[in-house]
Amino acid sequence: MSSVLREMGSLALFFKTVIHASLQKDRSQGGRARLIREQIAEVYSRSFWTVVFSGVFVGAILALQFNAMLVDYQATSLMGGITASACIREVGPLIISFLLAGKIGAYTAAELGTMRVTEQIDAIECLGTNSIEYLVVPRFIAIVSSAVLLLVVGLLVSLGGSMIIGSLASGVNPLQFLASIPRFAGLGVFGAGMLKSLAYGFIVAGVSCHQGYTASGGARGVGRAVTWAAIYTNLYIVLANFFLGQLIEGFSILTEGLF
Amino acid sequence: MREVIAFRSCSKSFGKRSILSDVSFSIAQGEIVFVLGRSGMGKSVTLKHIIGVMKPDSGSVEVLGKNLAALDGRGLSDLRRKCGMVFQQPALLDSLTVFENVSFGLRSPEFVQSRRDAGLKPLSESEIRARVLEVLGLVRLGTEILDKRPPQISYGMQKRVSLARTLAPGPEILLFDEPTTGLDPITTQSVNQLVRELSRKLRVTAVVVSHDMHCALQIADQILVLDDAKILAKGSVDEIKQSQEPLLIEFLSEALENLREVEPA
Amino acid sequence: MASVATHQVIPGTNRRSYLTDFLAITRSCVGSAVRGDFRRSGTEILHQVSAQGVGSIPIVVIATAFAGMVVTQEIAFHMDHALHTTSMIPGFTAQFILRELGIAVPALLIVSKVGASLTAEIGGMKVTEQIEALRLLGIDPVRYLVFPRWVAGIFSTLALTLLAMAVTLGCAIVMAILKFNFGLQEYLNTLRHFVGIQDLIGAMVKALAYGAVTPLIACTYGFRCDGGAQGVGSATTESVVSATIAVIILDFILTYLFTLAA
Repeated sequence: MSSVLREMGSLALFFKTVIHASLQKDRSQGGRARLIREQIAEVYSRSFWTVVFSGVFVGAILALQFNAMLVDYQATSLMGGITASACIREVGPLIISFLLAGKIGAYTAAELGTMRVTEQIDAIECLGTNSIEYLVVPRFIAIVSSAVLLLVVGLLVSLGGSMIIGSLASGVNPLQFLASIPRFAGLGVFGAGMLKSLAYGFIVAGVSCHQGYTASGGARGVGRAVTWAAIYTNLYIVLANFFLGQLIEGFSILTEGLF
Repeated sequence: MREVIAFRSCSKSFGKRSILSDVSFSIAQGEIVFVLGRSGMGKSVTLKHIIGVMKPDSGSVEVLGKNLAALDGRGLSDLRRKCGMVFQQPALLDSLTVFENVSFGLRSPEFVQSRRDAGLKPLSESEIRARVLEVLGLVRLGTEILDKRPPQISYGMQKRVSLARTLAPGPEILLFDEPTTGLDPITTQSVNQLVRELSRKLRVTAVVVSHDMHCALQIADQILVLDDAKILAKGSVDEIKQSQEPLLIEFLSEALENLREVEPA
Repeated sequence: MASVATHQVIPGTNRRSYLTDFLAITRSCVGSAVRGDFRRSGTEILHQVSAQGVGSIPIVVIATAFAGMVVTQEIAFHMDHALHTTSMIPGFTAQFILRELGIAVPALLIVSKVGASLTAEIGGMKVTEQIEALRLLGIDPVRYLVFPRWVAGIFSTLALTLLAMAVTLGCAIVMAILKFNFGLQEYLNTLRHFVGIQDLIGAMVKALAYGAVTPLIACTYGFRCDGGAQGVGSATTESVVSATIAVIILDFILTYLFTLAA
């Protein structure tokens, strides 16, 4: 237990270092923008199709489950709305983040971990370049910004999947499906989903970079870094999900009358 | 001769384990010094003290006339630039070409800053290219590998490129962390020769951490043997060969069995 | 000991495809199961259960506890919004937990924890030549390494899923009682109308599927690992991603089948 706390503390310090470094003036004469662009391209090429593929299935699963539950109440007309709402508020951000944690998080932890155990990071530092600014910051920014954008992609695809399965398996009219969405998934819901994705993006970026950057012990060390990156990311996402949910609920109660 | 590195009564422990205990020695400009000892005897820790990554629990370390404990962040990075570290692994960046790897140190923010501090303009692209070709020549590599990436060249070549990369910014002190460990005997010989050649030609001080007594006997000006947190023996090659220390004699006899003289440079 | 080495098909060698290696490892494990190798690998199985299963308890408990609370909240929100009634919270919540959430969440957690560490472990052994050493000693590395981990994986996943469902449901109940003024007895009564033994069986089948597939995928990646530190890193990454997708696809297929059956 104490080692988990120590890890959390180390992670917190790491976040602070990275954020501090991101705000520094770019001393590499424009090199940083290029590095960030390269990293964003990397993240997209790795995760886009995975998100699309999984999104369809997740949407389909939700449709099947909700249909089974709503059929008892003859409320299948609401399926579009409920599925959309559940997707945007909860399932979408969660599943996208789990996938990101796997595809991008594990990859980043592996990449940085390998660089660490083969002494590349030490070499960079000895040659006068700050390794956090050069390696970590571009990856961090790329992952966080991609998280939100990939969520939108994933949501659209999930809704598509739900719609298809809904009509194939339960005869729900696609138009009716779409029509019931606005009632459940308004701007506020969408905003909540975005906020969660942003938070999860931070978690995936932070944990994977931290684990990779602090890896040690050769090939096994890299394996360990990836494993713990996956574990911690999932854990923090689930915790963040709860606390953000509370926060959002509190916020919406407060602003009830305003919208 | 000018003293460039000096350890004065340094001690360092990790928890209960004492890694260095009252260690004192000095290294003069242009010397090739080998720090030997069995695994875990504090050789890498010694190197880390020289570049200021570690501080001794007691005693002091002076590099190029400055006491490391008195230096701030700026001072330490200044110092690190003057020390070039060659790691055990080539540690080349896989995503960059050989050219980009070797010129890495010439483009780093700290290097650029140090030139500004000295009143010089940053290096132009053609100056960088000229320098890269120069150091590649020093390690006996040609221009055909410039556009290749590290995974595409042999391990021996990677080690040379790594050395060239360290030489590019023109350090005054070269630190080698086990440069020949894990290499075959032929490559070990050529790396050893290269270290001597470069040190003489560029007039830099070389500190080599190794467990290869054989290499030390061939090219070192001074040999330091660490054992049990203390200096077991310290001196020139001749002094070491004539020493009466039993452990040392054991190290030596293994090395002397396979000794072959290196051609004088 | 018979010279097993000559007849073995060693995964990860000879440039075969992932699928071929995966099937080879699966066949070996199933063969071991049929042969009743349990006694022989007994201690190793227990050891693995402790490493995989017991080691995952804290994270599964914490994660599913929070998930349970969130689920209650979400369903309450939707019920309120859509049907203006909260009486169905127990029913829907229990259904969702026993059919989906209580199984998928621990599965995804297990995939990342156990899957990643299995790949890292076996991959690490491969690059340090320990697997080759086993083979040269006449020991079939698949039987020796994978089978115990596979059995342990199935068992642990089943146990952890049961635990997860209990915890999730428990926290959901607590949340309902505290926030929505349900009585405990009231909740349990309503629950009984909505979920039955068939849901539990369905959940176990899903857990069995996930628990069987994940170690096989992970170990195959481990055996195919090469290239030192970088190889272990990429093998572990691929393993987590593939297993996650496999779980999602299995989830869909099984859900569909169960829906048809109902």
